[in-house]
Amino acid sequence: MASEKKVVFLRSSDGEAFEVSEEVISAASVTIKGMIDEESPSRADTAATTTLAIPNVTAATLSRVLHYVNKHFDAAAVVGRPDDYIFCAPGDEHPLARFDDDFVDVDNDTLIDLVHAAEYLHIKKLFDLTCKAVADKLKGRTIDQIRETFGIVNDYTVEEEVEVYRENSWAF
Amino acid sequence: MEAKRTNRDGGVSLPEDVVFEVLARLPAKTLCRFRCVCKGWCALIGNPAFVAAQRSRAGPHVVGVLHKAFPPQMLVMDMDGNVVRASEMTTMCTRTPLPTQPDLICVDEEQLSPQAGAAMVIDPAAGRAYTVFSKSDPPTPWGFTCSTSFGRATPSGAFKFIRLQEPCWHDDDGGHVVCKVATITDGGGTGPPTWRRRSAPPFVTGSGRDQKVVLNGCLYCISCKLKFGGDVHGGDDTAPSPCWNRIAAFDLESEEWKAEVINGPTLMRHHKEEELWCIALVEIKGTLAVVDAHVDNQDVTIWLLVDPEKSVWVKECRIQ
Repeated sequence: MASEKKVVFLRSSDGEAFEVSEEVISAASVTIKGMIDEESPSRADTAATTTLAIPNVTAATLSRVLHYVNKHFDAAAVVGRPDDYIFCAPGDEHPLARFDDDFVDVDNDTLIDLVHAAEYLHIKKLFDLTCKAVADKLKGRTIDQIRETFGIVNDYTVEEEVEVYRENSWAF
Repeated sequence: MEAKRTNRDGGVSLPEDVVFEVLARLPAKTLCRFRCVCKGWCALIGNPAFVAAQRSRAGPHVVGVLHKAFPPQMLVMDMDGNVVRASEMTTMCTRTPLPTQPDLICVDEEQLSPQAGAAMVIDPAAGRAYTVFSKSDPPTPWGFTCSTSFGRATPSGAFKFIRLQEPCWHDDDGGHVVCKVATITDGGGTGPPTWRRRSAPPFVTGSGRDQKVVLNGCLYCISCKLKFGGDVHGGDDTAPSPCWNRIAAFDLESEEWKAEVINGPTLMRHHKEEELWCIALVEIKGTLAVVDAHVDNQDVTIWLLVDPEKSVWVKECRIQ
């Protein structure tokens, strides 16, 4: 079959439209697949391309998300064979591990935006990746650094704080 | 333009749902430390729904007792060797972890310790340890031994304890055995659980923890008590009791002993009481197995149960 690939346009909250293969985005995002399925009866008789509004995600974040989606869900990019079959020898890292590491090597703001976008668009792989990345950022930090990074106010009284530190002292 | 989620201190504020998802991907030890961040995080980390989510992602744990430290410490470690929980041993006695599910760990006091009969549960995810049976509970009467088993009922998934108080003397029908069951709710509990008395097993099952194992929602107990009543014949020979080498099964879901008793494999003959030997029930690759060890001869045989209904055993290996 040499039929032309169907594409959809996604419009970000700030009005920018992004083109993506329907097949790829449907495989990646449960939310968008749902939107496309809802639209399809009316699309059958028109040649017009669908534009879907993604009101919760900015252009900056959406372009990152689509970069990830095209890398992870585009079967054509791996010549029609499953990626782990081609690249993975036993004991090897996932072929996209390096890509993933670089992808989440961004500032906190951007990372949190990606978490939200992944949650809203229901892209499980991306959601897991970004949550894990935030968790890894937190892991090595001190209590004070955590509070500072996320602007958390210490609401313990002096006595309570002494007690909670004592209870968990073994973990420090 | 997207509004920057900043607050007056200039930090990025983390919405609560994201905090949940992010923290649930952290190991138990880090979470215990993060209890100190603020009251909200502390409450979240102790929340049963959170504990369940974190547990489902955490890997298995191993438990060990570190005797080098004083007082001795009990350590719970993940498979990467990180200590996720350490607790001081309050007494000099030995606490032994029971073979069990990785997400909750039950430890039982050795029979001979001053705390005999005490048991506690450690929840690595919630960073909490609590007593499920203490010395102050009705003490084990003289002439009886008490042991705790711990496992998960299927299909409900409820964590349950089974406590067997068994007479040291020979008792074929198990009439003197006291069998009690308690359930632990998923979020754990602060106080000791409520114990329910259940029917006695079909026979006295064996005093030690080695003779019991929980597998697929069932507690299996092997009876390996010999009948030392052979003095009529000069006391030289010890005839096995009728329930010798039989296995009783207790269903953790229905809390009933199964009517069918499994016959054990053909064990090495143990003629004399003085000879050191040991029979243990274990789980090997999801199958019930009997370890038949003769200490003097350093001879160990491992049997796997291939057909519980027909009591068919296969000799897996023999180590001499």
